Amino acid sequence: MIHMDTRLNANAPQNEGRRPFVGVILLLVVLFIAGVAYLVRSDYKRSISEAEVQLVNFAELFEQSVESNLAVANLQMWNLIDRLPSRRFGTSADIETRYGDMMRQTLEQIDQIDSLVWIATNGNPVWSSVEQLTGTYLGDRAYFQEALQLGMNEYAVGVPIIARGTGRRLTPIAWPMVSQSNQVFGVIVSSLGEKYFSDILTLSEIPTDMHVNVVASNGAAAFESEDLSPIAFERNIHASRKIAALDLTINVSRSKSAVLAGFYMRTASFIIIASILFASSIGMAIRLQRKSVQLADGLSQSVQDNLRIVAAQREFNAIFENVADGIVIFTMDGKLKRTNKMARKILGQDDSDQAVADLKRLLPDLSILTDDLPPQEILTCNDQAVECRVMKLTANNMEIAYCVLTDVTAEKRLAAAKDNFVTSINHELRTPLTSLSGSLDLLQDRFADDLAGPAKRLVMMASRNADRLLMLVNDILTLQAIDQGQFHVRVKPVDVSVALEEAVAFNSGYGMGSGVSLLCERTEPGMIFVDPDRLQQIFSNLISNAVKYSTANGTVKIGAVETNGDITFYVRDDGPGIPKSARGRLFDRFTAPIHTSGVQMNGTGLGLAITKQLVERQGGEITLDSRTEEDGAVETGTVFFVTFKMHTAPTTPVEIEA
Amino acid sequence: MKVLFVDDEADIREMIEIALIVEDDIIPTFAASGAEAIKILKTQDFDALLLDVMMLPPDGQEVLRVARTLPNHQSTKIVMCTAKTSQEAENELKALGADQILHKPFKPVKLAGYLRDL
Repeated sequence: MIHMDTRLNANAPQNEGRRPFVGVILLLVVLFIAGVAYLVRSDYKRSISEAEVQLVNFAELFEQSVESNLAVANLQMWNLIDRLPSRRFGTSADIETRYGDMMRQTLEQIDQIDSLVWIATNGNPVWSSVEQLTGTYLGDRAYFQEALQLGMNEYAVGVPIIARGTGRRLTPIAWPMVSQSNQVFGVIVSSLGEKYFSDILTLSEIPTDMHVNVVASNGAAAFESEDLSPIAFERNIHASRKIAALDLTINVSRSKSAVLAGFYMRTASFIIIASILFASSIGMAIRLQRKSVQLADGLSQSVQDNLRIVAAQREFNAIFENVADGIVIFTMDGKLKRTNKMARKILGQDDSDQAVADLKRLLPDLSILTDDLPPQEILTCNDQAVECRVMKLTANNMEIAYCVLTDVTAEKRLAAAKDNFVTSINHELRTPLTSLSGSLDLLQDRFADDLAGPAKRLVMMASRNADRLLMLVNDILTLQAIDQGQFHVRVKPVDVSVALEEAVAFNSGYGMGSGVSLLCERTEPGMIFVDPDRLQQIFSNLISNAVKYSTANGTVKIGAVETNGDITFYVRDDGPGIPKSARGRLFDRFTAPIHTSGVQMNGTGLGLAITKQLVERQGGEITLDSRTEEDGAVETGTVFFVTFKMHTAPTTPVEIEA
Repeated sequence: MKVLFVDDEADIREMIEIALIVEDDIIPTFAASGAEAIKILKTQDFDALLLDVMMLPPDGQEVLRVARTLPNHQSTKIVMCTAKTSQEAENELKALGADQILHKPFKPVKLAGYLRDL
């Protein structure tokens, strides 16, 4: 639970730290979008206004070109008019002869005009560079009428018209032919063709998408550039300029989309580049933030781990110091010397260094020891019996001797006392028992006839109980011998059939009193490898038990069965069986009574414990199968199975120290 | 046959005496301590000795040792009577010259037969 809590606490600040970061990122994104929008918008405005300025400039330039051209044309035209006769200029043929070349020359010199017509005051052309006009009447034309009213150095500009002959757009210009007496004697008419305007256009470098038209005040067009398809007025940008000298207006326009083509490209690439840069820097920021969060997490984790380690260390130190066994740890090179309280107490030193030095003196040279040192007894200065177990460990590339010291003084004293007690009991019980049981035997044997009936029964009772007491003493001694490892098994090849025959012969006496008979049912050929005396002891214990619990006049059946190289002896009775609850503790020493008082027989409570030891010390196994009324069995009874491995007989008897 | 019984328990000695009353061929002599037994052994010959091991010193084992040093008891049958069951102890006794080990408690009724079978 503690771990869970610290986990949760560690996670909480992490989330809190992440939230403002997300806010900052969002703010940056918003600022970025706003900034880009602002830049794009100002770029858009700049693009538009740049185009507008360009158009205005162009219109101005156009106007100036036209005006300066017109001034030059005027000069040349007046020069021509001066040289023409104001009176008696004869027929058209005469004019052609006398002035034709001069006029044609002038027409060629003036780029701005493409035709020249001399119209007499009556309205009839007297000479024309354009054949079609010869013989037509031009007196009704507005520019002619206007020119007649003008004086020296003046001219009139007509409404642009579509030429009858060529079908081209023309803007007529009429100069009055003024004599020295200020008499108008004719009108020279010329025209500005579309070519003139388009020539001007080609002079200046203008965008191909620019639309130019030149219109008169009444709306008629003097010139219109051809290229553009009609575009809605609102989607264009435009500029106008009045050409005062000609009473014309020049309109210049460009479609917004064409003007903004560059802007779009620029904006697109700008947005893409800016977005990439922005996204990558945001990405980097997120990565950095994540890394720093991880770092912070790791840091707080490691701080907590450290705290946990320190706590664990403290806990370990407390346990190490106060554990009931003495512990001494040292490295062979003497770098590490550590002892706990009990070790120092056992070694009688207050100081770890001294304690370790003392212990080393008591132990064999550990540096030549390759393996753990088995528990061995060492005597300390206090004459305590101390058992020392040394384990060689390797930690952090150091050879560490880990010694556990156990004060066994009390244990040894207790064991010695127990041995002494048992030995004394043995002697002290047996001596009086010998007298008691011997006397009773003699009494029964020699003086039975002298005893009255009840007295005889009392003597028998005393004899029986003396025997029982003796059996108990024997059993205790046998178990003590087994516990102390003083129990000897002399193993020999034993014939299975012979062993069973002997068992029947030796134990038939048990059942005589109650009429229980002993029967060997079946046997197996073969030899087992056991101590024959101990085997008979096993049979004796099991058969006497079986007889005790058999029904009156019943039969105890014994036998042997061979399975897979194992010989299993069995001893079967037809008694009441052993209750299920007691089967587990059947082989324990001094087991509490198993049966109800009516069934329970007197015994030492050690018989089966000894039998189990006898079987197991010889490598055998003892099991049982029991059926009781409680189990629902009709035929109750208990079978004990003792299994030994069948052996090929060894050549010499072997003694097993058990 | 002449048999010396050595036991510091008076009851045991008495029980043996009663048991052997009916056995005419066995002439028992009794000693109540190791010291007394050694004294008797030095002067008398016996066919068999029955020595209790656990006695105040000199104990049965000491009597056995002394008996085997006496020229007149080199071939005397010596039975050690002990309550001890340790195999080592029995082997030690046999090494000192004991012929048999009789475990306590023994049946006095069967004692005569046992002695005759030696």
